[in-house]
Amino acid sequence: MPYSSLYIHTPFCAAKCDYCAFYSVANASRQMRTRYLDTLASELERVSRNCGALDTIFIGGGTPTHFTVSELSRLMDVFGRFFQFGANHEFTVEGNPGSITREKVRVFLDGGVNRFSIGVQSFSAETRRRIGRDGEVSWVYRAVDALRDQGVDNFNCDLIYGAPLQTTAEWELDLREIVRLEPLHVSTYSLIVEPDTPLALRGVNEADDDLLVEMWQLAEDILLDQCGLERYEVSNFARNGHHCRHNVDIWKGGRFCGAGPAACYFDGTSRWTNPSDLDEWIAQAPPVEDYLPPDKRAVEILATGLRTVAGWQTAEFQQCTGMDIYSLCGDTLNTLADAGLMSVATDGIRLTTRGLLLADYVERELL
Amino acid sequence: MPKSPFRRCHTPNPCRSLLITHIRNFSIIAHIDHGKSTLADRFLQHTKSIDERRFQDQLLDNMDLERERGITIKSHPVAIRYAARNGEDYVLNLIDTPGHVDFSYEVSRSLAACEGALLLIDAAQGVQAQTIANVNLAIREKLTIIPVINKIDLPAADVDLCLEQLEEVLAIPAEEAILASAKDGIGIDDILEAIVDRIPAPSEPAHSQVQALVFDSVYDAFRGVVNFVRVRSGSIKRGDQIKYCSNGLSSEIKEVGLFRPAMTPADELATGSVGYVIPNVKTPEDSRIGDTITSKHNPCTEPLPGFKDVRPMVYSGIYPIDTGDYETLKQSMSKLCLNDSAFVFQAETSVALGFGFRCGFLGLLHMEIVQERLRREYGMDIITTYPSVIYRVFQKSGEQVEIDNPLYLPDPSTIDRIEEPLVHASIISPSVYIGSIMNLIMEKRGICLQTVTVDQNHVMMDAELPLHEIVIDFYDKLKSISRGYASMDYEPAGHQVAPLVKMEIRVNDEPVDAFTSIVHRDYAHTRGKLLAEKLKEIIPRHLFKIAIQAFVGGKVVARETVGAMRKDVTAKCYGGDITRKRKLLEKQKEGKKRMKQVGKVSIPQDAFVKVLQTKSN
Repeated sequence: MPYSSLYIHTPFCAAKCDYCAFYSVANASRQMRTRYLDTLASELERVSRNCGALDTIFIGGGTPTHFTVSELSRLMDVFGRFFQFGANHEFTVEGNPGSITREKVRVFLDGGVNRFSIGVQSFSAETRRRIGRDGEVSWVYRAVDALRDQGVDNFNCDLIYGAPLQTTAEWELDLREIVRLEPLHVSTYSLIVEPDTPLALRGVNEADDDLLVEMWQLAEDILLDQCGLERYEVSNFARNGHHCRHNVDIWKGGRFCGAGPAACYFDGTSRWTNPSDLDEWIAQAPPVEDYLPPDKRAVEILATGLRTVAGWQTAEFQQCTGMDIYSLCGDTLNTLADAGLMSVATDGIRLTTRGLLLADYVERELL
Repeated sequence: MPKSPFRRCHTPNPCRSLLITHIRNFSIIAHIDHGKSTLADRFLQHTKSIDERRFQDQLLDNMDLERERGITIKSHPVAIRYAARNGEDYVLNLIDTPGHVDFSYEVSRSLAACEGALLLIDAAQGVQAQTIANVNLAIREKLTIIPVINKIDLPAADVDLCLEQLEEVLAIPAEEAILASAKDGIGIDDILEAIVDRIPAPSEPAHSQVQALVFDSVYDAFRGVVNFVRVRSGSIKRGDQIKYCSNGLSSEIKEVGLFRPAMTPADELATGSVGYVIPNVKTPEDSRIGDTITSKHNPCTEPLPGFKDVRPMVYSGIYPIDTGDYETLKQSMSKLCLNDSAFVFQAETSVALGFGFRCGFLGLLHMEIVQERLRREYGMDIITTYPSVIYRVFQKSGEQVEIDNPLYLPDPSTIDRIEEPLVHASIISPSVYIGSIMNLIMEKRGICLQTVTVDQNHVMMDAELPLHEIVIDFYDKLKSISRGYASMDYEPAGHQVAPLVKMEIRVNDEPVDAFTSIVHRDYAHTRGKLLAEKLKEIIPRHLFKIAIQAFVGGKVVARETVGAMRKDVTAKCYGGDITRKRKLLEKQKEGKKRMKQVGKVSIPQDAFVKVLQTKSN
C-alpha cells in the first residue's frame, strides 16, 4: 500500500525557546539552509516513490516560515514536482507570528497548503519572558491579518499553560484573547520542563497538579462557550469537526512517511526516526528503527488512540491492528474502568475526563 | 652489583625466598583524602614494581566503590622491591589500612601485621581526629612511626603548623618528619630510605611453630577462601596441613603466594613475610580476620593476640526487593562476611518487607558500604530499614533483654527502664566553629566534657553522646557546620538510662514496620514530623490520597498527606514523540515494579535510605 501521509521537518528557527526540546537550529546560515533544501529534495524524491496521492501533509519544525520567500518557493516547487494530492487533502504548515508574511502565505497557498498553525504560546509579555519565547505579542495579530488577507480561515493557534508563576487569571486572559482571533483549531500545551533545556537548567519546576487541572478545565469551558471549540484530544480543540486529520491518523496508528532531520515514519510495524542532527542527516546516516512485536505495537497504538476524546471503536481498532481490544488487554481495561478512568462498552472504549488527565498513567498500566 | 638477598629455588616458576633482615612490613596511617593511595602508587612507580603500561592511578584501591569515593576501605597488601642506597635489595610489604572511624578493628589487625607505619598528614589540613585514633592504635601495637607531611606544594600548605601539631597532639618530634608531595613525586626516595633505615626487620621468632596472622580475606568463586597473612613464625607451603586457632578448623593448603602487586604463586611463605594462602575452605564464615593459622600436627601453644569477635554497634534490616532473591542474598552476604568480619546477619521477617535479614554494622559508613557492595558486586536489589543501636531493656520482672530491632521493644507497661549506648567522641575543628559544634552536641542530647587547644587555630572537643544520635545524622551535620573541616572519632562509652519510646509510622493506615524507630520521648514529635515530611516528598502521588502518620503509644504525633494524583499526561504526542514517550513510560513502569508494595501504596526502595538523610533543620 502506498503511503498517503507525509511529515516534513524543517529544523531552523530564529531563536530557540527555553522550553524547546525539539531538534532545531537557531541562526543557521544561508548556505546551511541551501544544503538542507538540496538534501530534502533528494529525500522527497526517494520518499515519493513509496507514496500515492497524499491525503495529509504536515510541515513542522523548527519554524517552516523561517525560510525566505525564495527558499520557500523552491521547497514548494520540489514538493509539487514529486507529489500529488488526493481529493480533499489537508496540508498544514506551522509558523511563528514573527515570520508569517502575506508573500509567504501566498507561496504556501499556491503550493497546495490549506491549513496553518501559529505558535502563539502566550499574550503575556511576562510569561513569554519567563519561558524564553522570543517575539512581540503584536506580531500575532499581524500574522492573523496576513492569513485572513489571503483568505485563510483554517488555522490553529498554539498556547502554553502552567508557565512559571502563571495564574489562572492570566491563563483566562490568554484564552479570551485567542477566542477573539476565531481560530478553527486551538492546541493548549501544559508546559513540560524537558531535561537539559534552559528551563530545566534554571531549575524551573512544572506547575502543581491542582493548578494544572484547574487550567485544563478553564480552557475547556472558555473555548467551548466562547468559540464552539471542542476538546477532541488531550491538548487539542476544534470547531465544527476541523480536527487535524494528519495527527488524528497518527494517533490512530496510521502509516505515514517523513522527510528531514529528526523526522519519523511508521510502516505499520516499525517506527523509523531520521538522525536528529543536520550534518548526519545530510550525510544520509540511516534512520533508527523502533521495532515492536505486533501485540506490543497494538498496545502502543491503543494507548495513543486513547488520547483522543472519542477513544476507540472496537471494529476500528480491529481493522487498524488486526487485534481484538478485549483479548489484548481486557483485564487492565476493566481495572481502569473500576478506577473511574475509562468507560468500557461492547462497541468501544474511551477515557473519562479523569482518564484523559491521567493518560500516561493509563498507558503505563497498559504497557 | 648489589648482593642479592634472595635464594634461588629450583622450580620452573622462579621464586625467591627472602632473608628476614631484608623484609620491612609497614602500613600507612592517613585521614581520608590525605593522599595515601597516591603515595602507594608512587612507591610502585618509583621502584618499578609495576609495569608503567599497566599502571592505573590509585592502583591499591581495587574496590570500585573505594575508587569512586576516593577512600580506601579494605586492605590490599603489595610487595615493593626496593634497591636501597646501601646497595642492598629489600622487599617492602605495604599493608594498606582503611581510613574510617568505623573500621578500627580492621586497622588494628593490619597494623598488627607490621613493624612500622607511615603517618601521612595533609599539609593543608593538618592532624585529624581519625589520625590520632589510628596513631594510638599503632603505638599500642608498638610500631615505629615515620611522620610524612604530604602535599607540601599546595598553596594552602602550612608545614610549620603541621609540625607543631605533630609535637603538641601526637608527641612526635618534628625533626622526624619527612616533607613530601606524593602527587609530584617529591620526597618519595627519602620515605623509602626511612622505611629501610627506621623500621625494624621482622624479629626472629622465639619458637618454630607456625603462627600466621590473618589480617584480611577474600572469597574467590572458584578457589574459595583466600587468606591474606603475615607469617610471624615458622613457614607455610603448599600441601601443609593447617588449623585455625579460633575454631579449630583444619585444612590443607592448596597454594601460597605473594602480592606483586597481583597475587603470584610462590613455593613458601617464610617467617616475617606477607602473602596469601589458599586453604581448602569453601564456607566464608569459617575464616575470620584476626585469626591465627598454625600447623595442624605441630600447633603453637597460643594464638597471636588481638583476635576478637567484633561486636556491631548499628543494626538495620536488609531485604530483597524480589522475594525470590532471598537465597541469593543470603549467599551473597556470607561471601561478603568473609572479608568483612564485622558484618553479621541473621534471618528476620517484616510485615512490610517480607523475608530478609537483621544485619549488624560497625557504623553508618560501614552500613552504606555493605549495602553498596551487595548492590554492585553481587547485583542484589535490596531495601534497608531505619537503623537502630542496641538498647538494654530492664523489665519490671527483673528480666533484661537487648533490643536491636525497635519492633521488638516490649510493651511499655512491662518496662522498668531502658538504657541506650553512649559514645565518647573526639572532635577536632577550626576554633571558629566551636560555638556551632557545642550547639550541635547539645541538640543531639550530648554533653561537652572538655575543650583542648590543638594549635593556634584548632581545638579538640571531647563529648559524650548517645550513639543513636551519631548513627542518624551527627557526622553529616558536623561536616556541614564546619564546612567540612571538623573531623571526628568515637569509641563506646557505656550506657545511660533515657526516656525512650517506640514510634511507628503508618502509610495509608498500614503500619510500615521497617520505619519503626526508638526515639527520645521529648523528640518524638520533631522526629515524627521529619519522617512524615520526608516520606511525603518520597512517596509518589497515587490515584488516591495517602495519609502518613507517626504514632507513639497509640497517639498520632505527626501527620502528612500525599494528595491524589490528578494530572499525569504528556502534553505533546505527535509522530516523533510516540516512541520517546513510550520508552519513558516503560522505564517508569520498571521503576514502579521495583518499589515496595505496602497495602495499596508503592514506596520507592530508596525511601528507607532517604529517610535517613533527614536533616533536622
